[in-house]
Amino acid sequence: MKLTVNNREFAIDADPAMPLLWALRDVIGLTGTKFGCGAGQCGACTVHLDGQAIRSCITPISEAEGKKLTTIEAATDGTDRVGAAVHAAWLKHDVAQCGYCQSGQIMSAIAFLKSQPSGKPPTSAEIDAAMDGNICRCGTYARIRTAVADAARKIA
Amino acid sequence: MLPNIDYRDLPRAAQRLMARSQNDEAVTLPRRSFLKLAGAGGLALGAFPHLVMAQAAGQGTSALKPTEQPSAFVQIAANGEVTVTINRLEFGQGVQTALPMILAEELDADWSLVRSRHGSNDGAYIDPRFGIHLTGGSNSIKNSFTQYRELGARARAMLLSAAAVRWKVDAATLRTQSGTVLAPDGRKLGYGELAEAAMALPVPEKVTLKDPKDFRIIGRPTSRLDARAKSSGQQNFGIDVRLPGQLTAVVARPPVCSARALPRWTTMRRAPSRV
Repeated sequence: MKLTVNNREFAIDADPAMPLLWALRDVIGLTGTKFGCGAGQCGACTVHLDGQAIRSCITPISEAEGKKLTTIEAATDGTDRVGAAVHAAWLKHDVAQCGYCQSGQIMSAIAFLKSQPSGKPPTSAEIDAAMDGNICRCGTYARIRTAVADAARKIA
Repeated sequence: MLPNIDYRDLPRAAQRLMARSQNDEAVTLPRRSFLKLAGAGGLALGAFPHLVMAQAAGQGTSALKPTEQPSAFVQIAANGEVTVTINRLEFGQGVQTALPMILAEELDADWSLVRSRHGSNDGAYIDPRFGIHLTGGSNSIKNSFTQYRELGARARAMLLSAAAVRWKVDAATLRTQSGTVLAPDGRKLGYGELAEAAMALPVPEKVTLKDPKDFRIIGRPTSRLDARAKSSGQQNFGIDVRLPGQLTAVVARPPVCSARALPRWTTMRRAPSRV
């Protein structure tokens, strides 16, 4: 079957039930997306499927056929306005500590900001609710919230 | 104090480390135990309170070994990029930025040209106080502060000597500024241009360290060197390592507590018999 990832087509010879996470990491070789729990609970595996944030560890590749997948590598390569704003905010506020959860955090943040009506920056409570599915053992939550708010102001 | 831990259960080497920290002596481990630990790879300890020692204010650190060559810790490329090798694991605590800051301070490097990398299991990268590869116990900066300062100062002295030779002047008349050596008559050379010549010079035994009031890097809030990689999916972690012929082991767990057997659907793939 064919997967379209970051605007490129890949021919995948795998069980249609294989989680997208493993197709991305092991078959295609895009290792920016991380495995955290394998149960959709931690958010480290977050990618975009037709622009929606999904947990790739519990989404089979059959779900992605005919749709567009975006991973952290493309989302932060500067070609997307929202992704670039989030990346810049992440650097400005020195958000990452160990960094393992950060790909998932950023993908969730980008999808959230894209879903917001323009001209209306989200409240702290709205940011917290949107980012609720991404956990961080290092506890850099305060800086995540600051960076998301900062990026929101920039793209408003 | 950590509750519910019987310290006698800890490996003997860890017990000795803690005993030493209580004596506040810099004693090297007996060679045999060092070899044993080296075989096991590095040792990472949690934040055992016994290992937290009071800052030895004003004391010199345990003497740097003559074998700690600056070249194992700092490489200066022809384009002026300074790559500092850290003797710790970075796992979010910031040593990958802090240790280069310490070295760059005494080296008087251009911070925008400083990069960092992890050291190998080579003996050069042991903790100078404990004598083993170790990241933990809040010891990294404390035990390597003077070490990295002296490495930076030594490299700077070698760059000054190289410039002095090139210009045929006394090194004492020269000064540095953020990655450049300056002569009183206005001539200047970047560290990159001097690096090859400098690294060929003998490593000075004694170096003078900066007065802390002159620090311009240490003590200033600084963005992490690994921030960009960690916010773009570029940073590699253990799970991302792919070596030729690498096998992956997973634990086959039954889905319920106290199960006596694995479910029938579990497919076990046998490793090749030579593994």
